[in-house]
Amino acid sequence: MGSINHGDKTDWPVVAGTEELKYWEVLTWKRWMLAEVSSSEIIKLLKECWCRGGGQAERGRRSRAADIHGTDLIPVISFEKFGIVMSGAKVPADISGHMLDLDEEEDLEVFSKPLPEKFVMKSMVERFNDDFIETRRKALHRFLNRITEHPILSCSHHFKVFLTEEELAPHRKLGPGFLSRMSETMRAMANSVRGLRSKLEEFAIMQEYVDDFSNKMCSVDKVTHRIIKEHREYMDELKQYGPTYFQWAESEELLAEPLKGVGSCVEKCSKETEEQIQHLSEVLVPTLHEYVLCADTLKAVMRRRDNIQAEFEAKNEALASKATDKEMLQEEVDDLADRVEQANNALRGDWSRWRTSMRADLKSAFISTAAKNVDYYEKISRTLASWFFRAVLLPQSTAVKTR
Amino acid sequence: MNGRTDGQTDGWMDRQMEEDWTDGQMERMGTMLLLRQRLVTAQALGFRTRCSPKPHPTITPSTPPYLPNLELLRFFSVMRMRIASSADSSSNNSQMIMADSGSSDEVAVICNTDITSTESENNIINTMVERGTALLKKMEISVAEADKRTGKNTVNMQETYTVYLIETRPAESVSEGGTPVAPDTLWRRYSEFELLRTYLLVTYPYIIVPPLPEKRAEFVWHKLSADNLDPDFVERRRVGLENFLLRLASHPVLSNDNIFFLFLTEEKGWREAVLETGFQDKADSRLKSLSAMFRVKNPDKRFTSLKHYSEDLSTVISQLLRIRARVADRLYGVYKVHGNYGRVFSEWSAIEKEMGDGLQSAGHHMDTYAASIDDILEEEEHYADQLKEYLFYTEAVRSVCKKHELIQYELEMAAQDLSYKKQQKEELETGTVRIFSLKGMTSKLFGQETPEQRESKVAALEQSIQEGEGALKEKNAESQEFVEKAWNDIERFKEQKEKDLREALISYAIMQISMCKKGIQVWSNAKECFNKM
Repeated sequence: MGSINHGDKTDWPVVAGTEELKYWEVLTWKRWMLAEVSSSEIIKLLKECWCRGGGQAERGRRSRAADIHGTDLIPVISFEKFGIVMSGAKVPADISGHMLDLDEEEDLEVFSKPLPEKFVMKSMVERFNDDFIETRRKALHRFLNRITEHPILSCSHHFKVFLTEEELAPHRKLGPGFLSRMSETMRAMANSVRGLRSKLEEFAIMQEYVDDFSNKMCSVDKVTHRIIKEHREYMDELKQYGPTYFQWAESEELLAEPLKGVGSCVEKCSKETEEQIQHLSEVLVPTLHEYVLCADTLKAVMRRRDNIQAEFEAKNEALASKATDKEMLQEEVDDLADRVEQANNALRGDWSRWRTSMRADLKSAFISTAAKNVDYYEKISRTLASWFFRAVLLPQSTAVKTR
Repeated sequence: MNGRTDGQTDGWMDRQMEEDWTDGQMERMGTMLLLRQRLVTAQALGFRTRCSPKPHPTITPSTPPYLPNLELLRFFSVMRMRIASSADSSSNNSQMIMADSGSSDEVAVICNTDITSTESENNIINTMVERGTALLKKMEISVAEADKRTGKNTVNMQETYTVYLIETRPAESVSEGGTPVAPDTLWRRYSEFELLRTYLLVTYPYIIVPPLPEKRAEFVWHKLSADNLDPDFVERRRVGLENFLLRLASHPVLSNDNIFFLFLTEEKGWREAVLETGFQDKADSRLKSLSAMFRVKNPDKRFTSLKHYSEDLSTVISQLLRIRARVADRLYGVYKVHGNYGRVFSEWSAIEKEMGDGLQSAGHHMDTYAASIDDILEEEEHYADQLKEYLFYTEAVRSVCKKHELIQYELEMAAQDLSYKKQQKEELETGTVRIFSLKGMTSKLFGQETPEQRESKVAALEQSIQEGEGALKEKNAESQEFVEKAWNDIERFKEQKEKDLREALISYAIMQISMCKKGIQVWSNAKECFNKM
């Protein structure tokens, strides 16, 4: 491992795993969402938690990461920054909004995992719904984790600021604000109109893949939602089906027991279906959703990389054609060339990382879903079989005697 | 061995087989198995479903009749071996060896060697009725095929209708071995079945006459069409008609009816024979029975409670059938949507390298899963049909109760009539006017009648009274005879109902278990494929 002087950053541990974070009761998050707890308290908790966790292994990992990217541990600083855009009145005074702004800065060439959506499109009131809070908590948790696992982003100054400082307001840049962002976007558009000279083939392939992947993820997500809907309707009908058997059992004598048994089997079925729906909603849907967002983030990042390359090419052309100011232009061109190089490398690194985690996540989510389905059928068939044996064995002996 | 519930892993059935059983358990299991064997075999051979000796022309060979889940079958076979071996070890050794080898082919062989075709046919009939009627001992009946015909109907318009082929065969022919004797056949259409039933209803009002399958498809869920000419509907109706005939043939009273016998044997001239019996004149008018229902004072309590029971049963079964159809609809939706997974996974696998294979094969399993629902729901229709039969039976039960009420009402009327006449006679004789009548008034106003007039009146009344007493006696006897015969049949019906409905529930449970096993298989396979992603 390189002996890099991190300065005070050596003492900064990596966010620990899920186990430690469980220490954060959902309640804390909930209270935070409801603005009962101030953001400073949350940050304190975070800090405390990190001090507890983070072993040698994590630090070693981080140092390795530093090696890949050279001696400069805060490469983000060399990236161009945009101003922080205040999203305006729509953003509530909670902290996730700030998080979005802070981290979007670094998203230039390096992409983080997608931030969970700010809003559910339904209504503002639903923001305080328990399920939504829980889902968001989990998503935010994953989001934070991803950042800390990321070799570049975890060293981000802004991230550290977000996590440790009590007040974020002074850290918000007032500098290149909305307008400068606008101009940048327009420049990007102009460049895209010109088109890229020679987009490396690997990135072209990547682009195509990301587009396709985005489509597929959306489709799978839609199908999953449809399945949940169908399950729910099925369960609703089952809830009416079961009681009918019990009603019938009331007017029967010998048949009462078997009928009640069938009724309870139907009830068991509807209970299991409910659990199945829950499992799908908790395991598969969030994962798919995450990767849908991820695909979008990917596309955005690739676009930005293209923009940098386009800028570089534009300047290069200008250099070739212009006679005056050659030296200054040359500097700029060299600078841009470096940036392109860095962007490309960062993208490549992140790409492979992303591919691995995507494969692992989706694989485990699907396996879990399939296992749950197997479990569902097993439980139902056991209930049915036990009814079957009871129904067949018990009355049979009496029936035989009467004959 | 008791019904285990949760906490088990796969293979609980295998564990049941390996456990040591007590004698009592073995005995019970044995009895259960005998019954099960009959039902399962009957189902395997298509009893109550597709019982045709030759394949139906419109049903492709790929649609199997009720093949019971092979695993369950194997389970039962092994159990049977155990029980048989505990009783008599020597003769079953060869079969035991075959049982232990455990492959499904050999299991099928086991079943076949145990039951010859004669036995199986007998099993079918035995499942119907334990006692056996004279008719069934003589001949075998089946409704083998359905066919379309066109002809002119009553308003002289061309119409297409379905006819059903009734086959009858003398019962002993098969046991001689070799090719069975060609059956006698004739074609009947549904309206002729209806005529037969109406005749039976009128001629035997104290019998709960088995119902016909429905004329039009009701309680459908969206996939089944309500079209009378739809092949699936026709097929289910064919089975229902066969069931109807077998129920008639196994009824102790109805099986001896001559018109029924002619129905099975005489194609032409049967309609005339039925009409000649003049049964239509014997039919009670609706109005008569309706008014009796309201005005009867003292019906037998058993009939009243039976009537209420059948009303309750009718309501609850209708409700059950309706909801079941909706549940089937929803379940269909759940399965079919998974087919979309198949499509999307397949498309997705095209853009992936390492994940491609796993995704692709998982997609195939999703397609299999989605396709499996069609067969599952078709099997479930059989359960619905069994319930429907009893729904229609409740109507027959109610009509027996109504007939009782009618007879009772007539009896009450006759008794009331008689007592009124007696009172009148008494009045005339004693000269007291107890009953306010126009006669009394006029006699008061205009004077009494002459003694000759009075005497003739008294004589007329006496005769009337005598006739009335005779009529009352007759009515009484009729009523008692009716109650006795009806109650006899009602007891028989109750037993039949208990047995049939239990069997229906049990086979429903077997169907559901089989469906679960299919689900387990598909999703385990899918899980394997996801593992390879």
